[in-house]
Amino acid sequence: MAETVLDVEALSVTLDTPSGPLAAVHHVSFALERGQSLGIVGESGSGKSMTALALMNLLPRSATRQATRLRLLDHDLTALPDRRFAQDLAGQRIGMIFQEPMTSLNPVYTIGRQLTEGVVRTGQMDAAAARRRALEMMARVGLPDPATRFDQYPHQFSGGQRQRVMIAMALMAEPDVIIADEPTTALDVTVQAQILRLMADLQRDLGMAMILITHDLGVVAQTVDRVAVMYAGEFVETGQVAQVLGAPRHPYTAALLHAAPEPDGARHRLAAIPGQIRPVYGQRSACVFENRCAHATPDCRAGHPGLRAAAPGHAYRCVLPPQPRPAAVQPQPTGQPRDVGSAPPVISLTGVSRVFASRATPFHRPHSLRAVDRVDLDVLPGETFALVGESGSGKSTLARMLLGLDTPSEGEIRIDGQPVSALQGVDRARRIQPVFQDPYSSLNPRRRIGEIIAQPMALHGLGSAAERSQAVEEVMARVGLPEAFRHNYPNQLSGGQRQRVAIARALILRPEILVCDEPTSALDVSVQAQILNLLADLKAEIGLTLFLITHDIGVVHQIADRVAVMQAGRIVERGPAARVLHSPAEAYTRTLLAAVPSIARALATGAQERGQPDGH
Amino acid sequence: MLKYILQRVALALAVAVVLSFVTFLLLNFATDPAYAIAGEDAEPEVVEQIRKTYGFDRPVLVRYAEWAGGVLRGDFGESYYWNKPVAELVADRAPVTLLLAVMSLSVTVVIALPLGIVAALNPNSALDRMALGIAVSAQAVPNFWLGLIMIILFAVQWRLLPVSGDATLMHFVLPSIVLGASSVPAVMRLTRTGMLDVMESDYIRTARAKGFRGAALVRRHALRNALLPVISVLAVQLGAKFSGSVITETIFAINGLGRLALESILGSDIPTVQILIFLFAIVFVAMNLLADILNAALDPRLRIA
Ligand SMILES: Nc1ncnc2c1ncn2[C@@H]1O[C@H](COP(=O)(O)OP(=O)(O)O)[C@@H](O)[C@H]1O
Ligand code: SF4
Ligand SMILES: [Mg+2]
Repeated sequence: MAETVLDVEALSVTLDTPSGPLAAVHHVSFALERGQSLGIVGESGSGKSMTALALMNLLPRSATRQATRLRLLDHDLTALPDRRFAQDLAGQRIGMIFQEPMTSLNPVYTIGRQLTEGVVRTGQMDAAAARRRALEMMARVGLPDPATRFDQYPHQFSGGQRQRVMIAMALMAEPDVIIADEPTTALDVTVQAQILRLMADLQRDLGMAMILITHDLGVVAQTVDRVAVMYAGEFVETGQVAQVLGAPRHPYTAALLHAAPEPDGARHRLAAIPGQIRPVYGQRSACVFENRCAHATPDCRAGHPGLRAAAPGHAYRCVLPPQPRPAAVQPQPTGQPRDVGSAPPVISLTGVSRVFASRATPFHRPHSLRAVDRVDLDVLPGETFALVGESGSGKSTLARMLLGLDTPSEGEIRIDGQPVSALQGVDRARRIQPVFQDPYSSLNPRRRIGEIIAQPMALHGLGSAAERSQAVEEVMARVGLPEAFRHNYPNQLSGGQRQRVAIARALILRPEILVCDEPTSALDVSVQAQILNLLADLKAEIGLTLFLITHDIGVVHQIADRVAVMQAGRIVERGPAARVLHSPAEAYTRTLLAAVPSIARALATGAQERGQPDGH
Repeated sequence: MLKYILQRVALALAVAVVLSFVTFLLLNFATDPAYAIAGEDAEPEVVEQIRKTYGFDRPVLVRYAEWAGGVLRGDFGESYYWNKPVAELVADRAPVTLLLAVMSLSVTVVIALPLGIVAALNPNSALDRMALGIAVSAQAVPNFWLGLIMIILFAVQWRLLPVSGDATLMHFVLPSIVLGASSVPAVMRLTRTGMLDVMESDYIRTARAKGFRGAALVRRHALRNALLPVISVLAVQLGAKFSGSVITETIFAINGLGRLALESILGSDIPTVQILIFLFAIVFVAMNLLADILNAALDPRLRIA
């Protein structure tokens, strides 16, 4: 039996909030042996970060930590003053990598200084030795030309490179435990794949214990040995990856798996989880998932369910016996089949380019950048056309031009046969409407939901007050928003509800085309499923044409008819979604597809690839 | 970097030229220089005579060009009031004001920065509230009132410091405190908010994860970031000390540029006032330039492409 490096029993974190004590983490227990990795998955707000911060002594001032046992190596963290923890353990025995690579490095100091200061501070190395070690680690994490980059500043690195720097920094002192909180969430899939592989390699080579926190089941499936599913502050299911993801026993785990679009599987309607996570204040007297659970019975409200064993090493917190929990599979509605051959395209791009000339500033020479490069594209009425590519490939610039928010430098965009430039005001608004990525920033926080949805009508002076009110009511029903929300403000709604509001606003003028720029990337899987289902329904019911921009292959697989792959401003491959996803012709498309974490693939190859020496 | 500095210098010069022109116009339209020399109740013929001799009847543009040419050659003109070259007047008085400005800025820095930092590190604590209280009351107290109170207490009552004059360094203590105190609220608040923001930032969390705490955390990771915006404000405040010296120097009977300005205004001494306003403007512009350069030196994001 390997040495236990981290031993946690009944860890709780309570936050002092205006509405009372919030149990952000509740009775979390686990132990990690040297060389072992644990994944913590759950939707946002489930308490994953609080768990990590509690282990790192980084909790906010308003939080209190309790645990019956909290041991790191032979140190009892419950009794150790923070000064001593900072002095002897932080960064040395336990290190952390954060989600936001763009802001987690100090902008005014060099990478070299930030890499070396930790080991120099504690006297583990002198400056020269620390520099040598930093150069070594930089090379190890795949940063080119370490000697030069050592003296550069964070803004001179890309997001992926900064995350490599963060990893190198966390590894400088060869910690026994490393915690990574959503280390790849802010990165492109191809970069994510590289970073995850790097972390898995390093963890194995250096024999560290690792905690990987993520909301992405695919990511845990391919990177860790064991997984804990977190919900409302508690671990609701724990076990080997193959056990938890392959034979889920808790209804929440099963529901999460059913809600995630699986790019390798057959297309079916996603089983969305209704409702949203409910924060728990004070005592837990019922199952925390009870308000969303499809299997809930009065028993579930009678008391807080204890952990039960499903198999050796596999436990779940639910009153139900250990049985499989299949989802009800429904076919995705497709609407009436369309005569694709004869219909003229609703959107047609010919030789469209957008060149950005940066102006000369004190620090930059002027240069020009082809964000969109000679793109030809036709979108047919009633189809869902997906444009995929990594960040910076030109997707959003193209969308802006479609919406008339930007003008092509060359080429022409036609909608319904008319040049976009000739379509003004109501004419354009009635044909094409946007839905943006972030439902938190795209809605005016000071307007009521009803006003927000009616805004396009008000903007173009359409309809009387009564007609607008009628239209709002109809469109809210269409997108599945309760009528009562009319008088609420955006901050009273959840992320998924806000995105419904954004869609309702886009639909109120009955446009033919919806341009959705990453419509679900700010949402949790369970909510993403609701929105994708809604889009599929709208397409089937009212024959909407969807122009979908995304970096998420799962989303494409779920609802797209045709797909175009964009790289550096150009369309490198296009075709029917099924064909492009299953037999891609271009190398770039293949790279993109291979980078997408797939649970099925990971489970199939996982066990032998991860190589578990003592078969725990 | 060099190109950046040159550009900023050019811009600063342009601002200074425009400012000097505007003050020239204002002074020449708001007051009649001929009357100023002749005196309030002079005969119209005498005034007319003076206007001719001094050339005040010529177009204002021509006179501005002459004046500007003079300034470039180091000829600041003649004071009607003091009957001396303005250059001589300024050279006599400038060192005193410079000393006062630098000392009062030091007072500001010494009080405002530590207070702001400590307040930010202990938000909503008694210390924080006290610092905020000091800032608010300091803002409410007029400068001259604080000056008079300090004179009464320290000079008259306790006889610790001289009442007025500029003979020794001790004479500058009270006026520096009075002048310096006026900038404390603004600088302290800015330091506090800057520091609060920085302490909440992700890179401070990273540093904490590496085991930095307390003073080392602040010194090695927070200070430079928090002070970047403060530097610009300090530069503006230093400029403001020059114009602020008008009142303080008068209260404490210090023979500096501020007092010279007041006396020249009262004496309608247009050439001196013109030069002084121009000088104050130049100081202001130069301080802003200095702040920009300092910022660029401390913040690599501004430095390199
Ligand atoms: N600084 C804070 N103050 C109060 N509540 C917070 C704070 N940070 C997080 N929370 C709350 O704590 C709970 C757990 O949050 P978190 O650990 O960040 O979740 P996750 O990382 O799983 O998204 C949530 O209910 C969240 O709203
Ligand atoms: S205890 Fe009841 S409500 Fe909770 S997950 Fe199990 S079945 Fe669902
Ligand atoms: Mg989190």
